[in-house]
Amino acid sequence: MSAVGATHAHHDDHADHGDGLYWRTFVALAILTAVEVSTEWWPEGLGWITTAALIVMMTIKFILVAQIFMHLRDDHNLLGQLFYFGAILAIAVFMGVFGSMRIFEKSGLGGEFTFNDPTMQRPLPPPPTDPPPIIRETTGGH
Amino acid sequence: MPVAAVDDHGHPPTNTGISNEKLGMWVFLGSECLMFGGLISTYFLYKNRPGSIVSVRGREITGSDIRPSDLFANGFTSVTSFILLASSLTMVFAVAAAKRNEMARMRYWLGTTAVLGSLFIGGQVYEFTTFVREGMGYTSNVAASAFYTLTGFHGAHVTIGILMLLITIAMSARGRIPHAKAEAVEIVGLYWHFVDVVWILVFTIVYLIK
Repeated sequence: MSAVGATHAHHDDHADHGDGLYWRTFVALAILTAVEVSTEWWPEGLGWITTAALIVMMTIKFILVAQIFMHLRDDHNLLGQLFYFGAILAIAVFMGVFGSMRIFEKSGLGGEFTFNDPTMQRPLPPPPTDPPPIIRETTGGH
Repeated sequence: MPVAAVDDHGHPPTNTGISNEKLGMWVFLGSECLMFGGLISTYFLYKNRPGSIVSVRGREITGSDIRPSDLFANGFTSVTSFILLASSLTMVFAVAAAKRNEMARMRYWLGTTAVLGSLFIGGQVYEFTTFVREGMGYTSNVAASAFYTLTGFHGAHVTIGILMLLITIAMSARGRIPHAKAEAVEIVGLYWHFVDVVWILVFTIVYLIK
């Protein structure tokens, strides 16, 4: 085998973890989803704690699917770098967008998310009034 | 010593050891992260906008004040989310079967995945229909437009994934996916799992976070 051929080790021959790992991953995902849904009944006073818990659980689910089901754990590092680079770049870009729109400025994570859209803060203009009637001068001529 | 023209899987050798098809799919998925990031951000920005707004020219645009969050039935959406999660499990079983050269079992799991995906799409159609009947159409307000665009794009991805699964089953039944080309099933699986990953984000950010 040539040197090139020798280095062409296909990473699709992942370590065969058997179905047990996939089942365990699925059960973990199902439990996390159930806990996420249960936040509907968490006390409203928890506020940002609920939001933070949801984001943490979402991130764990994302990583579990990517690492186990998409085999990033066993695959070539380059593939994980490509995917996570895209994901992190997306988060960075759009957090920058949110920051530029001051979305977090008003009341933080626990309150209403608003952004400085002038159309939300500017009162509606008064409805247009009817134009004054045009009075034509009569010349009185025949 | 001659350089090997192709490897055991029929691919020409690459420097990274990753086939071009698989690398291409991962690059595509990385770029899809940005597209869905944009759609999720748009919904995030618009979800609290009032129905009636004033355009930059000062013209009032009247719209419905019904917001997507007013109509969410999270119990129903939780079930469809669970169905999509289950489809990822069946997909990974299909990929494992393809690698073991168990083609009949692979087709069985691919078919199961397609059925679960169809159930998810059916749930989404039902949800959209209900929302429209409640008075929230695509152009009712900007929040509704952002919601339908985001979830509609995701639904379109799931539909394309179902078509890919059915084509893979048909090709395998005709013997056009031998064991040496089992990577094709893995690439379809990557796309399917990505669709699941996106829904994990959408479900939490759109439906659950207040």
